[in-house]
Amino acid sequence: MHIVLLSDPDIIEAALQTAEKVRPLRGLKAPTGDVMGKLEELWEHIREGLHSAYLARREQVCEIIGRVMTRVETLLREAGEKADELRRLLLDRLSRYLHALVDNMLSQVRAELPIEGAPMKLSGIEVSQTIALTGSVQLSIERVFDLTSNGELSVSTSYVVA
Amino acid sequence: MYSDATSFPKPSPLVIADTLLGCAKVLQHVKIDDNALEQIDAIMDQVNAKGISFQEAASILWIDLTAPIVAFTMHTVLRNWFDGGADQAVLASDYLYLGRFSLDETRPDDRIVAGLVRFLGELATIADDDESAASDVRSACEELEAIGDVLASVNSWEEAVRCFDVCCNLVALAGDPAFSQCAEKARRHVHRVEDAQLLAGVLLKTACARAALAEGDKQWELRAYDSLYDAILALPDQPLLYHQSKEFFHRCLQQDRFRSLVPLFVLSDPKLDRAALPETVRSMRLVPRISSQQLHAWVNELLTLRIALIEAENGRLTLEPKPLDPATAEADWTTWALAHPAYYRAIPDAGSFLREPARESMIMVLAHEMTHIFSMNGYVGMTILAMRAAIMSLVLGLWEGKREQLEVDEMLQALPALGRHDPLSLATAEQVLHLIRKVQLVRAVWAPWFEGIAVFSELADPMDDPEGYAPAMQVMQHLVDRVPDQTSDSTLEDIAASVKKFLEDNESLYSAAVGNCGVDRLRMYLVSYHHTYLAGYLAVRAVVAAWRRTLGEAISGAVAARILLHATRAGSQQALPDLSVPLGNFLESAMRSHTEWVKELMSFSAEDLRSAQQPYTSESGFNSARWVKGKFEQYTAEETSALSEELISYALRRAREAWNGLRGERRDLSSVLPGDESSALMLEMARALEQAEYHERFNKLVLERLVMQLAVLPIAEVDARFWLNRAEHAVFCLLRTSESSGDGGAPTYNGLVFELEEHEFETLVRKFEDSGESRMTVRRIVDMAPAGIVPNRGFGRHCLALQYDDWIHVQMRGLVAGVRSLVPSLSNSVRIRCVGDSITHFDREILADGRTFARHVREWVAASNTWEIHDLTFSISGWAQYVDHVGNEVLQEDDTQERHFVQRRILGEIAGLEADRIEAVLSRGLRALVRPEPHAMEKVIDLLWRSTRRPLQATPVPSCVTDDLFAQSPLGLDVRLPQPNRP
Repeated sequence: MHIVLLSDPDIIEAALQTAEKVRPLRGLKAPTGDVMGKLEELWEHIREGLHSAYLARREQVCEIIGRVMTRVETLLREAGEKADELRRLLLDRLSRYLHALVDNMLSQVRAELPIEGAPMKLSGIEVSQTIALTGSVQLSIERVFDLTSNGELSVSTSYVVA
Repeated sequence: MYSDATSFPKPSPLVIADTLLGCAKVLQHVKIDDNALEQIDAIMDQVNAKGISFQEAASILWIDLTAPIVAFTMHTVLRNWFDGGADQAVLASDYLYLGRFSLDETRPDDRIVAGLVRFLGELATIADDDESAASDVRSACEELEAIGDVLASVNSWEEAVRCFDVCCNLVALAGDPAFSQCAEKARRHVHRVEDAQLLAGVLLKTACARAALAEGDKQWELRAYDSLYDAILALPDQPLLYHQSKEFFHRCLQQDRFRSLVPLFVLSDPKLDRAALPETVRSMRLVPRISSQQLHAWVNELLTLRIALIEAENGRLTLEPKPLDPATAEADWTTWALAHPAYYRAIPDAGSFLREPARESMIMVLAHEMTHIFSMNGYVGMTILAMRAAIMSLVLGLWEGKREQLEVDEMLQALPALGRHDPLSLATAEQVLHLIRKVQLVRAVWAPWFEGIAVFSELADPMDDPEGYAPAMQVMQHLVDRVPDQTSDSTLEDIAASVKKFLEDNESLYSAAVGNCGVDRLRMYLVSYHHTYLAGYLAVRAVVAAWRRTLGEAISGAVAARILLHATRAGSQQALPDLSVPLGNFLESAMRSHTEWVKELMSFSAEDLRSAQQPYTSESGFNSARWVKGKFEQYTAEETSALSEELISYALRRAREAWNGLRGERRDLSSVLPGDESSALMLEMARALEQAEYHERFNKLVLERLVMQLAVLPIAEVDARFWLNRAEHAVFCLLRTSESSGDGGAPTYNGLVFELEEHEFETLVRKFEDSGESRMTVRRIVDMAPAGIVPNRGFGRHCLALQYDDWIHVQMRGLVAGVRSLVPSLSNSVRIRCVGDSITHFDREILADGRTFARHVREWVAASNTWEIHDLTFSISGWAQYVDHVGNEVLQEDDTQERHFVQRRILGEIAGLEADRIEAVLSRGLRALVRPEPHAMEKVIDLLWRSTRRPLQATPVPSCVTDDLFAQSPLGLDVRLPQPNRP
């Protein structure tokens, strides 16, 4: 069965919160670096951009991505020696967001179809779109914005008689 | 440890000859006196006259074959080994139990001679057989190794080393584990022997043994590396050994892990063609570990060699253990130790800190963690120490009846074996577990507040506090060592000006760090790690906002941070509950005491706050202060000395309180379900515990020791290779000062040269000869003593402590670098912190965080279903299960639940948030207080950041923030105070 899964602001917000989760520190510890602080500043632009992009018209999305990219590039440049680490953390967070978003959208697929007399159980899902991030911050941001603003995920599902 | 399966090859004639030489040396240990010589003459007369054997002649003359006489015959056997001596050795070992041998093997000399006779008998058999059996070599070596142990026990080091060395030679080709064991034994004693050839040979064998062990076990890599290094340094004097060992070194040094030793090995070649070397390295010479050169020439040679030495140290660094978590620094609640990953394998020395590429975040993190240590170092920490003293006292009580006549020092070596399952021991074990758990809960309650102060203090610009210094800032001012300028520091005024500039420079360094990294760090704390920091930070900000309102003036963040820390350390007497409160109610009691105390801080009077802003100076007439029931009290020097006693009295009272838990009326039965004999027995045991003797003097001793060791704080540590100079009683130490501040991120090093008093030097040499270890532990240590009480202590002073076994040498650093006179109490504290004693060892290593004890008790409880008193058995599984449950809680210490409990109360009662908002903040952090508007988070962080320094005038509360966070005050925008109508 071919279905299209839709996202909504709550799904996006939940995925953002999953991506933002950091393991709490135990004991009286303090992080030695401050790159996480820079990441949060940078992420705030992406976060706001993603929420706006979902609500925006298709032609406005490019503009939003452009604005976010300009800000991200400026902040990466300003990070100086810390830019590499910042880039790595950003890619990691983008990847976690993407996974969380796809997971959250897939969770809408029904595990059982209560067809009278012969209930069906989900036996497989195949995502029809290619969802992958690269080592490039720009391409990764574009892909994440694409999926978020598009608000759709096409999947093929198969069910068997329970 | 000799393997059973190994097949030993037959020793070569060279090995046999070497063995015989070694045996001859060993025999020299047995002195042949005049009486023995006369008896030998008489026996020999008979031998020559009658053509009979030595034993027969002795028998005819009724002369007992004592150790000196047998030793004499063995000399003859050795001399004639290849000419009938070997056969005589076999005969002698056969006769050992048949003839007139009069050897009492409980006496060392007799044991050595008898053992040698047996060994030589075995050796003759091995050498004679074509198919020498592994068992023969094995038993021969076991015999010789045992002789070596006897010789070592009577301090005959050289003879002992020769025994172990010979054993190594015999088993060398078989790769037997005994090789490693004998090599280690030889190495342990060889430094006491003045024989360069023997030393070089033994070091080489140790290197071989350890390198072989490192093949299969990474744990041996570091020791193998050090041994190879030691062996290389001993080679240049031994051309023959160099050539014999070349193949071994080539094989080893081809491996990546040992490759950094290649330059040193190249230089160890006695026939090295230096003319063929690049000019820069041509004059390099290896320097032995102990030298007798003149100081200047010696230091020059070491400095010339520095490229190779640094290469070797860098290679070693790759094998050294790494910090468990390289991304965080930590202040440890249990040991009050500060660990920064950058200073896990390096120490700041001279101006090295200024070259650290990440010095700005480093100094801020260090200040953050130092603030934790200072926060502990007050009534909260003293209360925890009191609980630990009570725990120690109770644990020692568990030894009672387990073993007779045990001294306290012996009891402090390990946890008591709990043994018989008696209910009284169960009751005591439960008391201990309750206390360990209560310590965990006290930490859980205070952690957010400590974090709040640490974040707030770390981000406060010291330039905003012109009147004084926060204690952590004082420590930071000593991170760089001041080098007195001989040319300009000619008068007292010059020195004062130079000191002032030094302090100002360091203050500027911190101030710049706050300016460059502060806002990023605040964002990281409040956004990324809000679970850890947000609640405490908001509580601290609410207190500061309340003070600003009370004062009607915008005290800076730096001044407020100083008062906050002071009140936490010296005003928290009432902030902890009665320690004998039942465990089930303890968290609530601790939380209530804590929140009431924070509310008390908010209500400090303007007059007290103004007084607290002033530093205590000699001009003011006061040199200390504390807060009593919310009032600021200042003390003169005389009154201050009484305060230290009062602090110990406070801790003793708390220790007694902790010890009282579960005794008599304090027994709480609610934790056990009715059903068996548990409740009755619990009450009975509670009554019995009430009769137990309380050892006040022991607790006082424990507390004083713990306090003394905590009066200093190591902040950095490194293992440093050292060289000794006998001529000038000098030491050269190669200190790693950074892992990454050199060119291309390479480690950097300082060569530290210093002279010692003769007795101090000789002690060090003796220790070195005892162990042969080539590295000492060097720590950068902060003096935590309160300022102004003991002269020349406190004020965040730094010192360097060099430790080799229990040898300690301390040098002042930081502002007072180069000052030679040391305060005895500082040296004592450094010694007890670094070397320790049985009490501190038990506290730190054995009790530690209490988990080992909890496991110990759980295993004991699980081992029996029946509990006995004088042959009467009881069914108390309900009680036992409960004790097991508390043990499990200690082990799990899942702080999420407790953290949320504590944070809910702080956010509600201190920061004044509504219940629904609290849950949102716990889940989403600061974002829960921000409306979804463009750049809202950035605006909030910016306001929090700027209002740290002072309330923001003419700044409206932005629309993007809920009304829980900021409010307008007469001084401007600041963090909002809790509303009076809220809980």
